Amino acid sequence: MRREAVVTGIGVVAPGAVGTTAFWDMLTAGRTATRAVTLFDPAGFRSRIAAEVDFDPAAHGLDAEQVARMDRYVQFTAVALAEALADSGTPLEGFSPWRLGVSMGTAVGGTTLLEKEYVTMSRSGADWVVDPSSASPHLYRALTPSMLSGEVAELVGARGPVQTVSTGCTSGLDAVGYAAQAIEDDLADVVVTGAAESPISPIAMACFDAIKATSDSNDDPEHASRPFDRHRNGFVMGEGAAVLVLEEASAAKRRGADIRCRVAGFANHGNAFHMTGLRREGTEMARAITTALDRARRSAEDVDYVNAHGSGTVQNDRHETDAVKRALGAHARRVPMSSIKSMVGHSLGAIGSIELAACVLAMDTGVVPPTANLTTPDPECDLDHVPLTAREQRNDVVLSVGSGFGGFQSAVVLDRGV
Amino acid sequence: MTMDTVITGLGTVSPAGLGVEAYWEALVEGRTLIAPIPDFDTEGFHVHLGGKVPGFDPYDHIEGRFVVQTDAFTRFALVAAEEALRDSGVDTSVDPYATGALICSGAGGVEFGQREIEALWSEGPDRVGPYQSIAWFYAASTGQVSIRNGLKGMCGVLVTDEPGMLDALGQSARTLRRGTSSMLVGGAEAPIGSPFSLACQVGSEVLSPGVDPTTAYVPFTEGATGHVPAEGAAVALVERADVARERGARIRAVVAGQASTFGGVGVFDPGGEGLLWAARQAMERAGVSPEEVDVVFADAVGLPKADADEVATIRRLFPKGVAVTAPKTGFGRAYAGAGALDVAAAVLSLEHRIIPPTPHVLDAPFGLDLVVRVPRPARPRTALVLSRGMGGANSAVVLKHPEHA
Amino acid sequence: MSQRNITIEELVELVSICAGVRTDVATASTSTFEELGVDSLGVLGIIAEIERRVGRKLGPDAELVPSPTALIAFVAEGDVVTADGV
Repeated sequence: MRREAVVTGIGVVAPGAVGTTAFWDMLTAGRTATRAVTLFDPAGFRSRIAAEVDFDPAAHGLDAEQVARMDRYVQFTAVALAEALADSGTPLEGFSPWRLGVSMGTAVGGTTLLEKEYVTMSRSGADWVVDPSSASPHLYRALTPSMLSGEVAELVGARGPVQTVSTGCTSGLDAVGYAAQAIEDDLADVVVTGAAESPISPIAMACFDAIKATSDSNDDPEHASRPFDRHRNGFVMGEGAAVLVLEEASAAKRRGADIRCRVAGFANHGNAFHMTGLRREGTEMARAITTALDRARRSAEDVDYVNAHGSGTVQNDRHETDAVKRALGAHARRVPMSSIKSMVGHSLGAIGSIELAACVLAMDTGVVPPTANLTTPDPECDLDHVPLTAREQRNDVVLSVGSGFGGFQSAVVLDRGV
Repeated sequence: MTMDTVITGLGTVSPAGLGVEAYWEALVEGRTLIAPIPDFDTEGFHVHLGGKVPGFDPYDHIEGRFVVQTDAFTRFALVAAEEALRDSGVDTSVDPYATGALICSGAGGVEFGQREIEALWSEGPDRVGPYQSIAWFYAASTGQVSIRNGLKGMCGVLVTDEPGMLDALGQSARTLRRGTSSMLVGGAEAPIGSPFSLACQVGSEVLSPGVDPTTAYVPFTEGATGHVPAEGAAVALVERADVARERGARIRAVVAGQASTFGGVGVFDPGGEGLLWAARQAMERAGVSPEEVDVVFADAVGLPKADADEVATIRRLFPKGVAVTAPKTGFGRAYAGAGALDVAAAVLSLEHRIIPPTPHVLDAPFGLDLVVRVPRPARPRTALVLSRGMGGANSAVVLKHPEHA
Repeated sequence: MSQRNITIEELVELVSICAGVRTDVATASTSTFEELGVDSLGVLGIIAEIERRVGRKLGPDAELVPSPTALIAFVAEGDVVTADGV
């Protein structure tokens, strides 16, 4: 019998909302969490706005030692993990630890902490040869993002396959796709998956400033993230984490788990074109969508909702619109396709998993979240982008797509099983 | 479950220089490729020696437009990928979607990143250049390898530190099973040029403080004080066996089985249970008994506790004994390049029927048949490669000579 | 005080440093950035370096210029010259 992966629990730490209830309330109300940057002084930066998480680690149960050891993105993960495990009710102790895996995504990992320590060790960039004696003993944990999945593995007692996936802005989709494959291929029975990012730091903001990828609507941060809108001018940086508990379907059924959905299909392609540029036609993203649907044994007409990458750059929005038209054909004009980045910003590697959590909630509640700030549609983005207001409808088959630097194009299909 | 993945192309950039031939020559000789770190004055640092890729001018090998937008780790990956692709004879233009890429990284483009952070903090945010966003992140190598070679197949990046390549072989098998025909998989790292990257590792206490290239990295001995950092890359073109046979490709090795486990962050799998489990699973998936394994490429961390755990694991796996080698003692541990260079060494060992020695380790420790001093002529048909990562990943892969697969 | 402008020779050098593309004055004078193989990120890098050298910001329209000669004119005049005639 074919092994399948199902989602039994989710946890979210997002800008404007810690916890899935608050997260879904915010999204379905069309509320935006974009604001002026407070995590550092952004004076002199082109883009001085971001979607930040108001986060007090102690209030969420992290002890002082964990706070000292874990970078902000790992702290987000620990909190989202606790929620996902409680939501799932998976009796982890009932599984062999060797059959318990972890697959977490992040694009830039510990950059924020690395930069902070670098500033001290280099005397604000004055010394190329930094002073190693002033390095924090935990700093090696920031150097490589493998620590993200390692921390999760230690928290859940996993001893099976544990990996960090770092494919830039598609990390959050790819990590979940790989997690499902690990279950399908009998490498694990439970995989804790998801993604996390905390990139609101000077160097991460400056590098997107340099290529003008981020919005400079500094005077109106609440309305700065405007996917598919004629007046959009780039993405708004975000941060956060989402964790999903994946279990092998038949075992989950046997224990009477509340199965939320199946991770039915996943595919990823490179565009082999440009690290940041996209060809308008969207052929590779379309191919990823088609392959993911094939693996899910679904047709284009089955798709009830498309969760867009919808970053709010002109290039992305048009590329994606064309890709979805190419993949879904006439059905593209009938299916709602919204971008929650309009509300929670673009948290790079984390956003793919945060969006999958939103997809699970859309299936749970029968609501499609809107695209906030979409008041004047770009005529070239002429699909049903669900402007401003959430919509009630049954969602049985949901598609989430992502696109990232490096040319990566990913698609994940969630459904209620066959 | 036997994997139906074969290696038909191989490329390396190592402290022995460019190319697989140079790498193999140095391994067989047991050459010392460890030297003082040339990039900066290491006075006051906890590490002084490294394994650097010698005389590498990227402009000799890569188009200028790729050079300006990449860190050294990506340049190594590009050069190794080109060699692997050429070696395999795969023509990616026939169907760009048939070939994917998965190049593992540990620390990303850390030297490029340090330069840009330095510019930001010493001169201001508008001094950060347009390539920081694509050069520093961990996915840079996979992205550029995909772009330069026109690969539109599945593209991935795993960060599991040293075992990256081993995990990539497992992941690529899952991908090939789902329809992709071939993939360039590998690991690449270039952490030595950045003083900041080395400074970050003070707390990990794994780097050798030694100053003598012949005694600084001597795992399995009483003098073990950690390992010497190295840079480099190895890339393999892995292919579905049926596809390779159909096009009449030269099969260099069969990837017979792989498995991964977790052993705890920063501690190299205390007790060795995780590594043991991974090795047993990999052998089971390969359908290989302990008697059939002819050589083990050891992880050889170079810390007394981790070494003892690995020796115990190998003895439990092979109660009747097995030949063990760790050629990386000649040039150092190259982070995400480490497992990749070990896999390359294992493929070459099967091919040349020679087990390369473990340089600088003069005597085999009690109870371990470690190949020391001179290469051992043998007829290895099956190799087991072991690896443990700083972040806690353990991985094992079984490779077979194609005539014995 | 006259403003600092850039020469075609200087731009040839910047195309090499910032975009990794080697060219010469004759080719650069008669080609677009695209024809030279300089992508959008390369153009942004070149503009940032020119801004440093001339000591002033060129504004968001600078990145729209299609060619080296148009960029030189833009630095001098502050106008976008279209691709026609290049």
